[in-house]
Amino acid sequence: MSSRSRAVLGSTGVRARQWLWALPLLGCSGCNQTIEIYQVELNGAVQATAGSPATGPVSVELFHASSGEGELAHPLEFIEQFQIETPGEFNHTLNYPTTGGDGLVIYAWQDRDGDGVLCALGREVELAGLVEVTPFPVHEVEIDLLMDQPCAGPEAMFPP
Amino acid sequence: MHRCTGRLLVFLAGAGFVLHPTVRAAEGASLPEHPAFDMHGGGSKPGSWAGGMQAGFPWQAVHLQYGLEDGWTPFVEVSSALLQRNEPSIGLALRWVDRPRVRVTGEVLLGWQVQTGVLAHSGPSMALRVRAAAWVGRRIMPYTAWTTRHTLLIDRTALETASGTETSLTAGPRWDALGVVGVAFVLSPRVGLELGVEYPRTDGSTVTLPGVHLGLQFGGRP
Amino acid sequence: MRHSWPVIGLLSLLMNACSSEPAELGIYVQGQHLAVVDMHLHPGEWSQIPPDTQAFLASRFPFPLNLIPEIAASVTLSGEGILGEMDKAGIHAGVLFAVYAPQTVGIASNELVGEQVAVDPERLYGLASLRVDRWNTDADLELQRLEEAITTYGMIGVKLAHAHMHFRMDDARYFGIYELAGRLGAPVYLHTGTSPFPGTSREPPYTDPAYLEDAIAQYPETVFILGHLGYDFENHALGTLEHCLRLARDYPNVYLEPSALGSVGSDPESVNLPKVMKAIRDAGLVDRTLYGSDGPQSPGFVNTYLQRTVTAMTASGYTVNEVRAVLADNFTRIFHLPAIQP
Repeated sequence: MSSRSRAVLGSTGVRARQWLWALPLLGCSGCNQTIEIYQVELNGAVQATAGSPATGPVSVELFHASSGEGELAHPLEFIEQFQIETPGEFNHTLNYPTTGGDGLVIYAWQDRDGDGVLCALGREVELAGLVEVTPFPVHEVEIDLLMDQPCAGPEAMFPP
Repeated sequence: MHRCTGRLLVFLAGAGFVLHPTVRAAEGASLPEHPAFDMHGGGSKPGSWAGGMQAGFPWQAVHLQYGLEDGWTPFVEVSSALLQRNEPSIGLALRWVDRPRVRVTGEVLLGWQVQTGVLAHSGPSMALRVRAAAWVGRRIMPYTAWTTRHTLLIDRTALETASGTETSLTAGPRWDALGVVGVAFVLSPRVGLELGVEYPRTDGSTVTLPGVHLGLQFGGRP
Repeated sequence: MRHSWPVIGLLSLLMNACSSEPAELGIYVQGQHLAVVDMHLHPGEWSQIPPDTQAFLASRFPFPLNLIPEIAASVTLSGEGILGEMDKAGIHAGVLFAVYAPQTVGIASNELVGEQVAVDPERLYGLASLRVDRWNTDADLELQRLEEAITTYGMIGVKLAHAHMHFRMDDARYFGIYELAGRLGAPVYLHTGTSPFPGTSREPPYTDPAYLEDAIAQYPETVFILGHLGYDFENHALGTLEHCLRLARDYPNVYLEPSALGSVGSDPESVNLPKVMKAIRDAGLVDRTLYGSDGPQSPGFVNTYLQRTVTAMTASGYTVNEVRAVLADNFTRIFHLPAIQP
């Protein structure tokens, strides 16, 4: 199971709509930071290549296609990961952080042996696939992703 | 009870204790009314004013206060650590203890904390401070001051959906504290000098380095 | 910053207040004077570190240095600063690492390392690195640049960090790096184990050196130095140490390096580093172990780490000759450099 971490700084308070009363006073010029989220409804299908098992959890990982500036610009900045129970149709709501990068890449791999690791040593060969969503940003995305690359991390497939 | 509400109630209770008339100084002989003593012991007699500037590592500060009736002393203050963490405040002080050789004052401050750089944050800030000073000779006064500061970091989230944008606010607390120990010297009837050592405690910082400063105090009656 | 120069001066003064005398290099173990090479040191530029990592690093600086992390870091990340830390620790020679991890720890280019090595080429060496984040299109170009850095700029080896650079250890598409390194006689240093930095990979194919076995077996002429010995920096645990030891036992081209895992931050009770050094000796792998610290990190870290490692070795029964081998002789042998006289 992908467990890439992402350092996020900021307050950890409970959502507090009662503080809206302060908005007129502050004009929110006094806000600590403004977090801009673009909501995306992901729909589609994740399929394994013909002849592969039809069952087994699928790990889906979402990335910015590019992030950073200058020499630090790089592809595949991790956003989040979720799981679907079996290859097939899915839908998922993504809160896309607009300041983290640009574009959207969807990567998925099928955890046939349920060990949480893509192609762990001595275990089954597992398949992965990747699609880049274009055009983006759009609020509704429809994808068709085929997992046909054995033991391939996302970096093996993107940039192509 | 939500953690922020609880802390706010505790703070208001502390402020009320600090400023309650029953803990005001008793009448009678008291520390000499010198700007240095007023700055570090706290409070000013009615009609007197005092000001101070300090420079050091990491803190610099400017403070101005004016004495009103019944022991109240409003003041304004700006402090800055390396010009990266800046804390402008207005405050109100009240002498609790005013004896021939000892003065203890409580202060309440309201203001803002703005920090720049990679750990930037900004938010309204409230602080409670206790000052204590003792007169050990004609011109020397050791002092100490302890401040607890509570800042609210308000984040705004704008969620853009297909049907529009929703805005929400979340708030998180931040706590800092600062202890100062030093000694003040009378240079002339209106000017004093002081040297102090600071012991900070900051939210999220596991280790803090002590600081040191040199300060100048001045004041008098208009 | 307008006010940066007085602060830099003050910090430098504080750090060097006691170093007006020329440093005596080397350390004494059981009365014998030993040379020391620290083969794991990081130069860098604050501006070449991604913002999340800048915030992560700054949050670990003490107040008020966390308000001016760029200035605090610049004091120690330069070649002069690193030499100063080496002097305080009595270290004869150090190896500076190039890094190309734009997503995680940032970039310290081959050119930067070359410039810092030039500050004192008698005492500083460099390991080159390359970008892998656009490998499908840029592999040939990056391998060419790597070869230039080694043959033209005098770099003595290669530095890789799969967890930071986000590529699998068993992905054969990258094996051209090992072929090149073996052909040029340039040992390859690899970060193994997890990493505390934001954005790094934590899955086993990116951190467990067992996934390197195919490459190790396929390129017997290439020296693989397993850095950090598979340490789990998140949980302060030994991680995949046993895999490192097994690989070193099974393959003569595998070497070990115990940097960072024994620091105050990563091993606060000083429990794991002694276990690691004892395990190395028990496995008969002392002659395959090279000393490194992963400094400079903060003033005094390089010296403290050396002391902790020597203490761990002597507590584990290392003879003076074994300590000498770990601290310098194994390094000069592997990298084909003249022996260092203390």
